[in-house]
Amino acid sequence: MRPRYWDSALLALAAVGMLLVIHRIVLVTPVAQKEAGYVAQKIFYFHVCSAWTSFLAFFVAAIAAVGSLRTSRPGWDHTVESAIETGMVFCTLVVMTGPIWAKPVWGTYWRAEPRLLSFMVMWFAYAGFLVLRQALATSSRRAQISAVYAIIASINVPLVYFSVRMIDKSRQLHPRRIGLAPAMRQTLYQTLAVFTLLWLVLLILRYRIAVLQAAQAGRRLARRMEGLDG
Amino acid sequence: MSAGSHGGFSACLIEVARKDLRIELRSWAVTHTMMLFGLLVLFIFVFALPGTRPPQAHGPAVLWVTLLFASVIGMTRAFALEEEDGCLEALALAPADPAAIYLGKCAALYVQLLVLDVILLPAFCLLFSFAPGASTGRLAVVVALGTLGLAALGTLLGAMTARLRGREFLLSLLLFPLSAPLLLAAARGTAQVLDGQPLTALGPRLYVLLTFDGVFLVAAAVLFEFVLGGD
Repeated sequence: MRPRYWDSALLALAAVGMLLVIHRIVLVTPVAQKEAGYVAQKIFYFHVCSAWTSFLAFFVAAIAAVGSLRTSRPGWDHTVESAIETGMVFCTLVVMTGPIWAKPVWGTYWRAEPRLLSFMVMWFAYAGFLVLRQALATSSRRAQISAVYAIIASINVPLVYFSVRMIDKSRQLHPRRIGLAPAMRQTLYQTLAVFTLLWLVLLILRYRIAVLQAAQAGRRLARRMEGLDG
Repeated sequence: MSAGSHGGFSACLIEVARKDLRIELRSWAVTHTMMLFGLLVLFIFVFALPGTRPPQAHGPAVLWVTLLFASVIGMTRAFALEEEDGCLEALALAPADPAAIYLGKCAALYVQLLVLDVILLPAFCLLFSFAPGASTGRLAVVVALGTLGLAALGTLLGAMTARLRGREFLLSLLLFPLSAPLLLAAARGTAQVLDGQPLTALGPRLYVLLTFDGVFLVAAAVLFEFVLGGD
């Protein structure tokens, strides 16, 4: 595998972008949420952007899963695995930053409300994917079974969200619409762009690892077969 | 890979369901295990819950968690027999619509889970001081709909984990997050029904149950051929 230089460039771009965005969030953007002592609100940018990025990642995984089932090409399978692993990073960030932000603003670390519950379910469902993937390591049907599970898990996400919303209407804590000052909206978009770029870079790197692992497994198998012949 | 005529599909479905149920009828092994485990879990909850507050408050949640745990046994069993005897490959190679095979196995599992329900519900009512009386029919509807969702998911996940080591654990791990909306709707609906409310008052909970069942039955039937293999 010859090193490609454009993905190092992308990684550098993502790193620089992240530094710039953090600078902007912390120092430039106006404060809000007096009740939380002003500073906690800044988590909002990381929290929301992580959430959108994880949705994007799992959506891409679902598309790749359909592709994997239809064409059986290993590239789609690598994409499913990579997208979900990288998506889990951002999903974990959401679940971690949420309570940190919630305590000063809502007064509590946790409440059983639609978005929190759906994110926890999503986290567990895709963590299950990772465990399933491990268990399937030696299976010949690894790609197909992983893909089926990825599709089922992604169907489940909107189901969970809407069912909790329909059933426990009174519990909604997350605001439905947020009015943002233009400066804050700018920051949000910039942060979202950087997070998406970061995710793409992670996806590409993880995809490479998957390709290398597959090649290594192939070589190992070939060597074993040679040993049997010779 | 479909069997052609519509008659072929339903014939295959019925045959698969009958086969599974016939195997179960011979030994009752799965039913006994599910029943015993279910009753045990109910008892454990009785011990763990505080005695000071009336038990009704926790009742529906306990019921559905118990059903969830106990049904996993039936789900793993649904494919364990086939896997042990190498029948999974045979099923995959058979010239039958995989969706028909899925629906047949799902139907058989559903029947087994309904038997479990029939045994656990009276025990539950006894232990948690419920007297459904007039609500029994409505309770049956909610429980039947919830159980259908479990059967639909469990059949698919059972097939996916059939050949893997530690399949019971893996199946539980995968089943629990996916069945979250089902549990939510079923437990709330059960609570309302036991409270004496009519089915129309259940509104959203019924919609969620029906949607869940429908979506996962269709999705699983379509995706089953990829789990089974034979390509």
